[in-house]
Amino acid sequence: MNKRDIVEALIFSGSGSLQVRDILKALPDMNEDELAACVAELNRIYEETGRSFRIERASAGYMFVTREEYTPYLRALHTPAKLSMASLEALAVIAYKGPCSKGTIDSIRGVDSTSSLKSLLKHQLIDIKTGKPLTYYTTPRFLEVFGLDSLSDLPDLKQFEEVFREEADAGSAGGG
Amino acid sequence: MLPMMANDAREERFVLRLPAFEGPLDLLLYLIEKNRFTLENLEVCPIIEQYLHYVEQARSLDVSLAGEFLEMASYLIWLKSCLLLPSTKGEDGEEGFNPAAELKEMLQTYRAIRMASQELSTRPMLFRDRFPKGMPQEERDISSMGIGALLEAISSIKARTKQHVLNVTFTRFNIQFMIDKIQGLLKLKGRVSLFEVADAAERMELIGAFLAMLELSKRSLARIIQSRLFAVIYITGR
Repeated sequence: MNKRDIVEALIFSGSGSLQVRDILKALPDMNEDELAACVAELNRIYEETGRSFRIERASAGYMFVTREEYTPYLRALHTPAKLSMASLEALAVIAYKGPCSKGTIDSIRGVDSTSSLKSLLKHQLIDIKTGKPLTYYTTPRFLEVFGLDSLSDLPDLKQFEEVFREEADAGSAGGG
Repeated sequence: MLPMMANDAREERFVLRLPAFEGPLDLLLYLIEKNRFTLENLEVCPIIEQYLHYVEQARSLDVSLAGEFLEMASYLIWLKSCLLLPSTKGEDGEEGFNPAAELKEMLQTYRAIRMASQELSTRPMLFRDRFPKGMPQEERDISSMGIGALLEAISSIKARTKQHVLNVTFTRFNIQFMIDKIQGLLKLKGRVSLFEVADAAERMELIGAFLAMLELSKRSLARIIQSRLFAVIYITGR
């Protein structure tokens, strides 16, 4: 039994993403880099032996997920998650601007977000912080579902603005 | 939902797919793109025209538009009137309040968020593209429960016990009835306070009396007097 196999057992035992700090609690003489190396080694073994799953990093931890080519079969068993465009928009506002009030979300989207917020709460992608007004924030579950380690992994919002700015510059250059 | 088709063949470019738009801002961005404008070189007036035309057409097709579309329409009409007025440049040449810039900024923020949400949806999603080991889609793990779950539980209890809730109905006071009442009182004495009109002191009655009073004032049939903030409101004949 080596450390790599213990790491595998620990991650296997978790429901959802098992936090790095919890793994390190069970393996006190290991550090974060060694853990990452173990996971990379495990994934290499899975790759070489053609396994249907991988270990992925999400929400400051590691979790087992199936490989995408098996999805058609898995969809027959599990109802695939569906988020409407409206819910995704509301989710994006909360991920980038949160914690924020419903008023902020509505004013950025230009529409009422009540039903989107309900659906996001039901999927446990967001939660509510008490106060006046109530504010919404994304949960660790959100990070797991979208394969993000932390909110800072989200692409910079300004980046999207720049895409358009470049387009506009190219357009005016071409026109003139 | 069915795509809506404009009746007039000349208006073919207005093939309305209303449900496809997430809201008025989405529609505006669509129109801007269609006109090959960018937000940076945006001409606001033609976009406003097209937006209003679109809303009008949707209404003539008896499509029930979400209130937000109409709210945006009235905002755009106001915006256009601002643009038609002489510019509010100060004497020192400094730009004054610029409503078009406000609209642009709103659209810019929304567009970035829309792109971000599209980016989110293209990520390999758990429970859609990949599945985790032994984790139910709708987990009810106490440690992961927040206030959202609590509120959800409360609302489900409310829904379940709904039939036990007594619905209290209240009388809505007819404004015409209130107008007649005020006019009757004014005939008896020259001046009457709002509380005399709403003598049952019910909130709905008071609202009815208040609206009736405003209506009379609008029709130039009465004058409203209030000496200071929160003081008793009197109605007198004209």
